[in-house]
Amino acid sequence: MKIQKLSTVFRNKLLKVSAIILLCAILLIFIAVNVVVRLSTTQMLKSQIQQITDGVSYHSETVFNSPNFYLSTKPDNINQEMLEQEFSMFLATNWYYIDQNGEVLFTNDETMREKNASADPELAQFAEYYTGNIREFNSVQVILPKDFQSRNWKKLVICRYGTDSFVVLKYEPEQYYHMLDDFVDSICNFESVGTGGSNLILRQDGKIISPEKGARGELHFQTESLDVTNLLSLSKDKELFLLKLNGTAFYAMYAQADGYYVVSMIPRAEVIGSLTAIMLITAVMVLLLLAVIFIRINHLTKRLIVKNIETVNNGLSEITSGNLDTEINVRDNVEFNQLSDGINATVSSLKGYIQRESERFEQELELARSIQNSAMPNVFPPFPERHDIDIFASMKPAKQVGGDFYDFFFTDDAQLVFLTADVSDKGIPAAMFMMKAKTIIKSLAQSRLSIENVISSANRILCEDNSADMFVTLWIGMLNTETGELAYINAGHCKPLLRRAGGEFDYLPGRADFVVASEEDAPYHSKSLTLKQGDALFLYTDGVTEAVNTDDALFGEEKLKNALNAERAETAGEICARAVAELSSYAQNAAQSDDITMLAVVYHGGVVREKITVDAELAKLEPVFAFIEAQFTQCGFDKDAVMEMGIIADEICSNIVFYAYPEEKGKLTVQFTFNPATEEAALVFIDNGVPFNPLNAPAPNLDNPEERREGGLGIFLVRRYSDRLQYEYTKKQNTLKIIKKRK
Amino acid sequence: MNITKQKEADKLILSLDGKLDTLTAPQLDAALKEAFEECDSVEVNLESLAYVSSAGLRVLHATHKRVKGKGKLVISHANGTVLDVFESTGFSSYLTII
Repeated sequence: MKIQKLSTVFRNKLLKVSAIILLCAILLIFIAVNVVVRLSTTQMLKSQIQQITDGVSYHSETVFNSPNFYLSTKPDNINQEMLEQEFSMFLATNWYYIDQNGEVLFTNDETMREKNASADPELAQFAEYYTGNIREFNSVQVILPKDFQSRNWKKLVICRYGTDSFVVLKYEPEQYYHMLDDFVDSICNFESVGTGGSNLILRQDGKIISPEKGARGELHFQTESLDVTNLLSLSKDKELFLLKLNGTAFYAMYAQADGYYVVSMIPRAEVIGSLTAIMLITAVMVLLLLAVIFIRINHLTKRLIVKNIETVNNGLSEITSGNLDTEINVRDNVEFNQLSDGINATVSSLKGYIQRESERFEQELELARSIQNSAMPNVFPPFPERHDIDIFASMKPAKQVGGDFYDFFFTDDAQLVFLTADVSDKGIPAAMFMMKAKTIIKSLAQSRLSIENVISSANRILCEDNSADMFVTLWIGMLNTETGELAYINAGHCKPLLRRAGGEFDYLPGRADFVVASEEDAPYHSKSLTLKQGDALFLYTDGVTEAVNTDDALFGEEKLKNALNAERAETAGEICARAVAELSSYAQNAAQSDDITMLAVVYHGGVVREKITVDAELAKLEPVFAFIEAQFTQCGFDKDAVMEMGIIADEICSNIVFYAYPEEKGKLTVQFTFNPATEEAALVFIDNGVPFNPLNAPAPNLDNPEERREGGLGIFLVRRYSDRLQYEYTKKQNTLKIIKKRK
Repeated sequence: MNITKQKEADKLILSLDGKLDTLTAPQLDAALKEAFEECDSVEVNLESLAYVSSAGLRVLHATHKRVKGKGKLVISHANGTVLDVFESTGFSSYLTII
């Protein structure tokens, strides 16, 4: 079903209702007008009937009163012959000469001659006249019987003849009509009812007497008689009925009038015609009224509902498109007020919910990030006891948890493995894949495989069950810190920057191998180079070169190289810091789209590393002191420095001998390294005794040596003659590192 | 460490040569005890001493306390690192150093 606009629905409904109202109105008007028309037609026809009936009665009375005038004087000699001649002018069927005793003296009715009038029921009706009880009368006309349709009726006329006798005249219908027809036949001439209706006078046999044939005009139908039986069967007298005549329908009414039927009729079409006109006018008026109502309601609907709904809908669209700060304010009426408040309340609670959810999500991401970060070495310097290598790395994820990672670790005393890698995705799945890749590579590398085997095996393992179709690009190096030999593989990763001692950073040339975790049989080729003292290597992921500024322009390899060469950074930490600073000043406020990971290695090389291990006993310390003196002297430290280191060695070694092993005997190891690049020597004292951090020892009271305890003095001297001190207790080992710079 | 004993008019001079550390401190302690039995005034000559550690300081401190009021302990010819140790630890203001 097609969904329509609210205004259209309203309009259609309104149209339907209007149509129904219009129909009902027309029907009601039709019924009302019909009733009115029937009543008025009845009224009109009744008066017509009355008028004609009166006319007929008048003529009948006039005609049949005439004997009364003629017979006012009675001759003296009365006989049958004379009377017969006298009465013949009245054209009666029978005549009777009756005396005041009711005796019929003369008559043309043989059956009643010389009989008493009471013998004939018709004559007997006038009995009271004969006996003289009724004195005053002119004539009496009686039609017998009442039901003249039976043709057994007669017209009787009585009149006084002289002072002592009466004459009764009897008319059969034939004679009656013969007498009267000529008087009534003109009553209805040229008279019409309405325009097409007519009054008729019929004989009882249905023959139309009036109007006369020549006086019917155009208005009348061409018929000579009506079927009286049918007429009587259609209705009672003086009631309206429908009459069909020669195909025309009439409203008609009839009545009896002195032996005639009077019929009055008017064509139905004539009446209905006016009815139709009234109905049409009324319908047009109703239609106009409805149109006004329709337009008004339509307008109101639009103003009060449709416009408001459009406002609400526009607001909702804006909310749907993400602007949750939109407020809906339709305050025209209570309903829209409630709707507005409801929507605003819903949106604001939704906003709160979204905020809570996103905070929760942020917290979880933050947690994931800290887990990920803790999986990577992030304590710097990572190898404080070593001076042959300086390494620093950092990762700044774009989406809290990233797919980038770095790693570095020693597989033995000399072999350093370091890498940066980028999983081809971001977010939690990438981070999980990254953890997997990192773990596999580290465990393979620690089993002393060649770098080619490490990456080939890692590739095969990662290809299995890689349902997410992720892959890893990486640059991995394996550095022999003693010789400076570096074996490396670039698996689809960014080219690192290499800076030779005293030179500038430049990209390490060479073709990259295929990415890891994508093709099970991909071949990986190890390449090699040799690092010299002071050489630096900078690894990074594409988040560095593909960082954008506010104009969406890439940072690029050229800028990275220039940034690192602009200001010479010596340590790995400084190199990374330079890159980070340059990147953030370039990006300004542009959003970080990818993880930014970097790792710098500075090779100091040529580092002297020696160590000596003895039983922790006083008697065994002599060779230790001799070792230290020899190492420092060899590395070019002056006599004072050598002496100072002697004091330090004595203080620390005696401390270990006296206090580290209170029960069983233990060992003491002293390790010496010297880094010519930094001109720093490190002396590391290691024992497996009770944990003791000499750096926490209280300072001696030097102002009043008289009162002081003797402890603390030794460590005071150690502090005084060293450049730096570090203490650690790990793996049940006390490690105290003393750093002395060559002057 | 070598300790050379030399008798002068009213004092005994102990000249130390080498390192005065944990290993050699007991040697000095014994030498000082012996010297104070012979003479009330003892001078410890540190001219040839390479260095002194806290163990050596403790011996000198203990001796100083022991002979206080009865005899006289003098440190002489401290130089370089040795002098620095005495000065930095405050012993120079406490012991008699010439």
